Amino acid sequence: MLNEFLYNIAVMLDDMRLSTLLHESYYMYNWVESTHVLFLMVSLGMLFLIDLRMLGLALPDVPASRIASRLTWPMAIGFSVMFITGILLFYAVPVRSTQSVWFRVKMLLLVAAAINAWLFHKRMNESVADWDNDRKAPSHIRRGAILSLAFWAIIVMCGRFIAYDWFDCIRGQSPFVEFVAGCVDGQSRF
Amino acid sequence: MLTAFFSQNSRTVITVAVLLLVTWFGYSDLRTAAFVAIEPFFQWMETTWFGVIGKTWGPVFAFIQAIHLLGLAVLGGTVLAGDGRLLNIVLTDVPAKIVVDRCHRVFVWALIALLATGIFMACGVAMKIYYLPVYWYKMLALVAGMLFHFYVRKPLLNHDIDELNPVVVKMVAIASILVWFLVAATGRWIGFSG
Amino acid sequence: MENSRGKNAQQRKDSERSALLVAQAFIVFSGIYWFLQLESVLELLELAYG
Repeated sequence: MLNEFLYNIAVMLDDMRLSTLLHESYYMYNWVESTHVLFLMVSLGMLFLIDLRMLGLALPDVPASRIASRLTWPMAIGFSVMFITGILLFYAVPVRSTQSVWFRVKMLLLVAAAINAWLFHKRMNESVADWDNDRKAPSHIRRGAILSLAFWAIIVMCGRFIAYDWFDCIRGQSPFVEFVAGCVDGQSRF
Repeated sequence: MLTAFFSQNSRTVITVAVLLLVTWFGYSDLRTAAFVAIEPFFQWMETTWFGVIGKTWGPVFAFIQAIHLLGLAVLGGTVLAGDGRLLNIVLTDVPAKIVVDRCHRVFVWALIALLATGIFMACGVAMKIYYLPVYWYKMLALVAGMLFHFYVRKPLLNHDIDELNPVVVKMVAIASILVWFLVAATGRWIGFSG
Repeated sequence: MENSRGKNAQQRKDSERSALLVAQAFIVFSGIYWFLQLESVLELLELAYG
């Protein structure tokens, strides 16, 4: 039911002229994707520095709160660009993306990473005054940083794997993969 | 006289010599000869373990690509934080020396990860990249970036940053960001080509 | 003391000069590279859509 709904929405997007133009434009699509990847350096670069600071692996002699607060803005700018270019990439290939196992896992992990980031900041702000100058953050903050690194590492992997067609509905998959990918019986678009 | 001049300006002299050498090489017949001579090396790369694994095991290749991207993210973060500080954009309330030094340590690890995964990926598609101009642009940018970082930027920033000419410091920061973004952009373009 | 300070200033000048040279070269090269990249895209767009 949900998969059919998602498929129909994707087909509707796929019918739009702009989606086709973007998909078939060699340069524009590649520029959008390159921008998506390049801004990984801005967004995740900043995020990883914050996480590594909490683990004592980067800038350990700079107060943790300062690293977190000063790098949040460039990180937010990077994520905004990644979000916009990500939507465009999805819009260019809506049906295949909707039914990509990797894309689905990536979206779930993005939600998990966002919740983790919210919890991380909340916990950090509650106690940072006690350990701001310590080389390593306390264990509950470090756990949050490790989770963040793990989530984003898997998100990047899923993003990379979307390009491969191992589990595409068009190839005919096992019932389990068809279920996870949300393949629709008798679908004509892929 | 000449020895004294060289010893006092050795870095500048070597830099000029390298820039001239690269420019001359780019326009000489030696470039074509070197391109032909290096082909067997690329053929050999495909026959190595890395090459065989990269060619036959798609998921392994994709996994290494993802690690490469993660390394790129860390490298990008250190470049942007360090150079952003030199440009007075980020972490302005932390001494520039500390930001630059600490970022450099992480940068080195990220670069090692990038080179290791990059060599693996290159072996898997050696003959494809051999014929791609964008791959050679990337190699040029990468080598230039590494030489710049370790031979020019690092020794410069080892001096007291407050005593350095601020225009030079800012130009170095801009050049550093540009060269590493060029490395990343040309790297992504390899995937679109061929 | 005076001598070592002078030597340090000389080394700093040397580092600054080499940094300026390379930074200029990179900025000019990047400018040309990205200009040509953008121009090639614009040319293709013009060919495609007039």
